Amino acid sequence: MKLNVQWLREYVDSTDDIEKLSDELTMSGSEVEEIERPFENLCGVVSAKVVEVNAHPNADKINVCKVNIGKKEYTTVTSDLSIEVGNLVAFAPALKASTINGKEVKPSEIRGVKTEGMMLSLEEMGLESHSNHVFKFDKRVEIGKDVKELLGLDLTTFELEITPNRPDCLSHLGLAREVAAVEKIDYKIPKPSTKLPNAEVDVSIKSNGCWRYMAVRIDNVEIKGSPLWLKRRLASVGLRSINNVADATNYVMMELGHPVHAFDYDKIPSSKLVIRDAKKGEKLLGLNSKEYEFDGGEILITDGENPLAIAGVIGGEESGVTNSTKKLLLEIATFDPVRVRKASKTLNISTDASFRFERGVDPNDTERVASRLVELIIALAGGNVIGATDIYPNYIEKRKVFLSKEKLVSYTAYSPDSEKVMDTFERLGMDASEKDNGWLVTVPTFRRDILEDVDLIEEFARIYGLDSLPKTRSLPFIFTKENEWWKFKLKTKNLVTGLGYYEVITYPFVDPKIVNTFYSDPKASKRAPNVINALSPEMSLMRPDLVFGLLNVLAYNVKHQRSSARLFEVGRIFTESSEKEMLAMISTGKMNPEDYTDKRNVELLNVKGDLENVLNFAHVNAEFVQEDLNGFEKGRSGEITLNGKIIGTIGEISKDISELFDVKLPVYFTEVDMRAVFENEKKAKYCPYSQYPLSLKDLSMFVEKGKVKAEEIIKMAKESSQYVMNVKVLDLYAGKNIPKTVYSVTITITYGSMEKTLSDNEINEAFTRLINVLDSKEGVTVRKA
Amino acid sequence: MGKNARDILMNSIRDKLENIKNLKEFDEAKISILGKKGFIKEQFKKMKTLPKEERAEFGEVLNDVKHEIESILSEKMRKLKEKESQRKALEESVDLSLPGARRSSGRLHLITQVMEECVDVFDKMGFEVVEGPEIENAYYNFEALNTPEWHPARDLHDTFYIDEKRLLRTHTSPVQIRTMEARKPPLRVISPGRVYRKDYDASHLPAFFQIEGLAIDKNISIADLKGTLENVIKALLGEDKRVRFRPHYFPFTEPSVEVDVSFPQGKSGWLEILGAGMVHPQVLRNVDLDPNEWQGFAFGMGIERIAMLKYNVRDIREFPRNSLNFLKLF
Repeated sequence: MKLNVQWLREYVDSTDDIEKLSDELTMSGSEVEEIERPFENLCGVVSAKVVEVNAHPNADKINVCKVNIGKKEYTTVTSDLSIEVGNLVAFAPALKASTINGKEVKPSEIRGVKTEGMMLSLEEMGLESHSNHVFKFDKRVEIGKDVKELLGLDLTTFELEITPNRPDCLSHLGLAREVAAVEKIDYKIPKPSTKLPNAEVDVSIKSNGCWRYMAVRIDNVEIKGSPLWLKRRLASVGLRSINNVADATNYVMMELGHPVHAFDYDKIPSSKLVIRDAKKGEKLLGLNSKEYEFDGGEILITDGENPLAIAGVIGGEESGVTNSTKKLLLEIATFDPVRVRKASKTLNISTDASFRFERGVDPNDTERVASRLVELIIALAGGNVIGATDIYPNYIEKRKVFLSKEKLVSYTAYSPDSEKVMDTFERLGMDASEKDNGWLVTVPTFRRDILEDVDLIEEFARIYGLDSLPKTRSLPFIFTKENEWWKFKLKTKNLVTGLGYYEVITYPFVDPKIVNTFYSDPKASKRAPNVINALSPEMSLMRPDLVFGLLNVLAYNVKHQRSSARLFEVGRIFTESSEKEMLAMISTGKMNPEDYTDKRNVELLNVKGDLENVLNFAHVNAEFVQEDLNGFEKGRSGEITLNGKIIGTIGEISKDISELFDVKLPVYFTEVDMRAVFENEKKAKYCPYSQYPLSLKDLSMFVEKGKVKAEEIIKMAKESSQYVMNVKVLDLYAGKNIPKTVYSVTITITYGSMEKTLSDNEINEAFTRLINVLDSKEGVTVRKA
Repeated sequence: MGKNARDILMNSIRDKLENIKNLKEFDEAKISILGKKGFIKEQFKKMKTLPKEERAEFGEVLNDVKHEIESILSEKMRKLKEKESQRKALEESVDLSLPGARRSSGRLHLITQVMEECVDVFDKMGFEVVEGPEIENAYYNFEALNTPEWHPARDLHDTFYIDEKRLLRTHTSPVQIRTMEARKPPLRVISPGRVYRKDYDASHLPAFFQIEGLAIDKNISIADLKGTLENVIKALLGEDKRVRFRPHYFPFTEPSVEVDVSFPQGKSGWLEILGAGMVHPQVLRNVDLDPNEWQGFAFGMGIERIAMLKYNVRDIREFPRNSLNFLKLF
């Protein structure tokens, strides 16, 4: 909403201080987002008298003129041949003035004649959307004066954010009422004197979405351009001047907040109006030259048969006012806000009228709005009022709302005088009286937002000043418990950063095509929820896995000169019926990219180790089950299970997939259900350990892949003697001098006892037994030292 | 004569002494001067050939010379040792101006860091964290929050839909409803989380983070709302910040306010930082609470905006971009 401050002052004698006024509006709830000077760009233009007009020596249809601005004369040219000696014009001297677009006027040469400036049209001064002529003052003005001053263009406007509950503030009068309430001064309501005789305008309401309809007929009007003052007003609030009648309807809307419409009466052949609901498939060509097809349920103004206008939204082109219009039918109506909003949304059209109607327009100001409109039109376009018909099926009463003093005090922690409270309400146009330790307030129908006591508390608070109300230092204490889940997530995130991973937060929107490719299943994306109005098809699926976002970010960073990246994310994944919070880690390139002493690249087992760290931290014993999973390299992936349930995956991303993302090095990924880990988290507990010296023995062996698994070997070692306290892998080797299906592993066995120091004999005996057990295992060949 | 003889003797070996550069030369020089067949021994032999009366004097001179040589040699030895130890120390030294070989450790995303700062502040004030689903029923996102369909306030919430009934929550306020349905007041809860709006330009992300809160009790007032939120803003953004409360409108609170924080760099000197208000009685009725018995306040703020303000991040799109160049800064 644009508010012209000078216009506002017609209704309220408010402060001259623009900043203060802006602050008053902002702090009472109508936030001033911008203080504008709509004619700011137009500058340096002065009034001038044309003193000489001659035909251009080298061009037809161009005159060369001399203009006088008092102390100096300038040469200029014009194609407006109506300019005569003695005309008073708005002259923009070259290099000193600029037009409304902010363009500086430059000296130029037109077919051999040098110009020192130009005479401006209203278009160039921002007062008209299209001008055919140079502007001429129609009364005597002193020459050499600033044109902005002469034409009253030194204006200030506010761009206001009016909240959806306050349609009454979408007008100059409404905002005047607000300013008056804040400044505690009076404001003037325009009181048009025009009387509207009753007459037979044939109107019938056949839609319950039309709450009130008044039609006024005026004959013998003359459609023409609007006077300068009206153009200036409309331009200042961002509206385009069209013709005197259209401008009058816009003016009334901006003044009183009630949108109105004008039909060309001669273009309604049936000479009657029927307001009814639209039928599906009906069509109307709007004033904006677009055709609208109705869904059914929109409210239409019709001639009994065909639609003339979409109620509260837009008029029809065919019944609109044109330059040849002689008879007007004016509409001052109120429609159901919900119905107008539905129509505006389904037809995808928003107008100044629909914006107001969908927020709520007061049906009870119809008479005032009608007489104001008629008064203006008669003044601008002449004509005579034939009469008016007003249909108001269900009178809307003023609401009565009770506010108890106790509630006001309880809400504000402040106990104002009753007088002060009533004064506030009355300044806002309400009637208030004391009743039962409180106030009974009668709310005018332009305040449809005030329904119950808290709404009145807000009115008091905002006018009294929220900043002036008291504030407390702390809330009364209540016991609240810690959120263990939230804390667990943070602890885990901190742990993972310690493992060298950077946290990322990616969009949960993923590309269904990539999802299908990843799982080698054209239906994979169907298992996750789809956003029906997504920003793009690539962002239409709610991620079924964190891998997609992480691959994207990994690829982005690799592309931007990071050959190594280790990233993690904690976020939700989605199925049709559930949401799960997952932790996922992704890694490519160096293990310690910042450490120039460490040249190691990340391998699958490193990522497994990182995940084990997370699981160990929560004292959770999950199992890793080798399994070929879609999206991963064969033989290099697996599932993570806990109590028999799959809680995660691990593996090397398939080369086909990482190539799709332009990542050349192997990419390792693991993901685990955070909630499952959290729910199985065990608290750390003390566990006794041996106080006697321990002995360590190393054992190397060749292991044939496919025949035996490392975990079996470790299990066998652990179970080989009661004295085995621990078994660890010391070294792993695969490569030169060993067949590719074989790896060499060295394990360290810790021997010890809780009760004593073991003798060499006891240790050697146990170790020998282990060597024999392992040696007899198929696929294991112990390397004898 | 004595002095002269001494100088002659010393001069004849001075070069030898001074040219010692390392321990090997030192040993050679020492043997050739003081050794069994060395210079001094030679001189003593020579002495025996001298006339008797000169012998004593020469012997004295010779002893002097010997002592001087010994002291020169020991000084030489000290210097050589010092040099040697300096060399060793240099060999073993590490140029600590080389950059540290840093074991890589990651960082939390700035959004997580700022979210935790917020959670910590509220935690100290006795608020408990609650969470809810991101795919939400339209009822919880809108109707329960007093925002029926076709309400103009829905313009502010361009919504992503999953189907007719389900949507991506446009705020974390539905969590308040779920909490009030599940538990009786008094309540102090905050709900941090991800929210979605169909809005994507230089200053809006389609998915972003909010933290919202709710305090319900018998007598919670606007004064409590003001006090609490002012403390929160000062704790987050600095004690020097000024805070103002501006009337606003949200369907689920009444009265509603927007809270601005002083921002000298901006045009108006203020920056909107959060929205808040007293919980609307209709919202309480929707969860079967009697608004004549219970009242309280609710608030919500965007984490990205606070992060941008605190850390001077200029472009909101840095957050979803996840460039390591950005992540490493915090």
